[in-house]
Amino acid sequence: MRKLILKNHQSPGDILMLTATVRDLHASYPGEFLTDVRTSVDQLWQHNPLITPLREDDPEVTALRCNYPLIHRSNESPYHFVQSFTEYLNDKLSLKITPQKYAGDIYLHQQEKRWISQVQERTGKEIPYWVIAAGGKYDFTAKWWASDRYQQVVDYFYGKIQFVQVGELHHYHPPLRGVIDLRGLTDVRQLIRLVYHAQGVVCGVTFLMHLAATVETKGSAGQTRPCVVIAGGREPPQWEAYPHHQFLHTVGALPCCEKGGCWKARTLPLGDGSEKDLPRNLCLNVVQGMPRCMHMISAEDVIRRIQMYFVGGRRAWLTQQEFCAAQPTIRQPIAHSVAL
Amino acid sequence: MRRVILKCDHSASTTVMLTAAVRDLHASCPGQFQTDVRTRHNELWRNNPHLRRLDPRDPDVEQIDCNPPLTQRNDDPPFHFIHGFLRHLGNLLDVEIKPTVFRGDLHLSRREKSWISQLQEITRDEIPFWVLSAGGTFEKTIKWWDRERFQTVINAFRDRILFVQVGAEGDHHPELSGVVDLRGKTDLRQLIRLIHHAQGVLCPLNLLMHLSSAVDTKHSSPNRACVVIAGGGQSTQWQRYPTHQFLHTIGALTCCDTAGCGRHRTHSLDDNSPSDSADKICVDVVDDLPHCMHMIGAADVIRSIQRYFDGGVLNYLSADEIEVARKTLTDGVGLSESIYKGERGLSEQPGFMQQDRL
Repeated sequence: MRKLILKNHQSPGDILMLTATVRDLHASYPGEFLTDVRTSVDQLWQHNPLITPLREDDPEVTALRCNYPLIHRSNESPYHFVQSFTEYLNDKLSLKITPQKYAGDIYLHQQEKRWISQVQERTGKEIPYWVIAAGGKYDFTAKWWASDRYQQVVDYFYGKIQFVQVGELHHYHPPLRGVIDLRGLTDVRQLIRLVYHAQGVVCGVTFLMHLAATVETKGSAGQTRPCVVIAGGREPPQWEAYPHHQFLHTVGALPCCEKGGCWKARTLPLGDGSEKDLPRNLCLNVVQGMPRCMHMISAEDVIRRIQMYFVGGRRAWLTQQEFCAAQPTIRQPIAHSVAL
Repeated sequence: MRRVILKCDHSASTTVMLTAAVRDLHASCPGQFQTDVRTRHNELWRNNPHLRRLDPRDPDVEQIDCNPPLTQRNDDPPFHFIHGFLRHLGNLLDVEIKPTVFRGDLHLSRREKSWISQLQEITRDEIPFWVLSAGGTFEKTIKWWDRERFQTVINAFRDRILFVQVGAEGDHHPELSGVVDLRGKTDLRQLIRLIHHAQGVLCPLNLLMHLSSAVDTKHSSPNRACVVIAGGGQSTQWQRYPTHQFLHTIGALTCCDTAGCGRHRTHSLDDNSPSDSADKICVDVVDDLPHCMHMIGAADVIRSIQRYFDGGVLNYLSADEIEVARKTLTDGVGLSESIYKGERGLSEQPGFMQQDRL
């Protein structure tokens, strides 16, 4: 039995992909490995049956700092992000791990599943809702879409879809009107549970997108969760898009992302001394404060893609009772236009 | 040096995937293989530098049946058809084949590239055009989209894009107006050359989609525009190319919630084909279209085509080119009179995006 400690301290989305690799390792080599991890997001590993506590000073343990150089071939090659660490392990440990599915690997405890959602805590009634992330981190502002367009989407579905806005307080998440505002009120585990209860997700290329594909859907294991991703041209679709998501991209449509994702970090420099401000990391084609690729995606595009999930008959709009239950919990902050 | 003949009697689309697998086999195992093929579509292998003529009677030659598993279902692995095929071939040959590029591997000779396009033979002047496939085989009627919607798309781009309609004789390719009609006039090699000259492609899930990625662009731009009307018949990851606009409904309908339904026909055709068995017939038909295809509106397609022009990688027809296009169409190559007798293009109708799309 080989003992492995896998290390990575990148962002939650990266760690979520590592959960997939651990799953696929055990599926490909049943009974041959004991695995433990050292990562930046312990909450993603809670209740994971594939994790065995191991000590780094155990001479039988191999500790491996995990990277994913595959990203450097992401524009040309037919790989998804979910295969990124898997390929690394295959190379480093001479393995042939076969990817099993298009998702990370998150485990919710039975008790967690029984808990009511943070939304129901407020509404007093179980209502369907969509989680929306209308911003992101300051180191990748090129992923941001305009706040007023998110607002148009929310407004369009008034009375039909209840949106719940999430986002970390120290990131950029401008307030939206007509939403249940949970910005700054969810740690990773709470966000996982919120997504578990969610009917759908609207977001950029973020951790939330990966969770939408990974976290099982309440009451119907195996059923997929709708997700509309406002992607633009930063990342190649085959690297990021999940099969059942509506992934709005512009790769191939602009000179700056004609060959694949541009992988730029920021739309404009923020003057914070970060390397993300270097010219090589800045968007080459900015329109009205947004990357042109994001500017090309209209609120109508997003609305249309959300509608598809309802037109298909898979999901139902809010009932009058559900709409009324949500009303007392909705904040009406003044929405600010995105100011980049 | 292993000498192998790869046999595959599947469709032309599958054979395009095999071209990629052969390319990547040689890239992953340089100098270790001599390869030859036996497929139904020799035109796809013309000028391919990876092939050597091998004698199947030679005892040193391995003959590998490499027909791949084609139907991807709920337990789909995260692979594209290309990747799946080369994993399959790698298993058969017991070697590891790494994918290199995200496209098939078709080769045009310099001479072929020097020829003018079939369209230019008609127009005499070189003008940009899109290749359009508005139908398909009777075995997979589930891939068909509505003729009227195709017509709406063409009308919307009147005087902006010249469409050239193609399709194999014997398949279902309904007549469209306002297009140059090359239905039944291209063999496979001619189709490849036509695509070489094409600015873009509009099609359902079919060979044309694979060719649009696999065939070099004429002016060496890295990719060719392509809008695919996919619906929910096949899994997105199995089919979608990165630079295409791929209109799908996976996840939106019960019948394709997690993966493509894998069904073949919208209605039974009572022809005793394997495609006519009950498990191959669409379970959700709306107005004679699979619900998944019915959900894709003309405006969705229009919007997707527009992206390539809005983004600046393509330009609409210039004034001179419009004249050439108009003259070509009015000279009787597939022109519907209505197009140039006062009917306005969809894009000129006020508020069409809102009304049609939402």
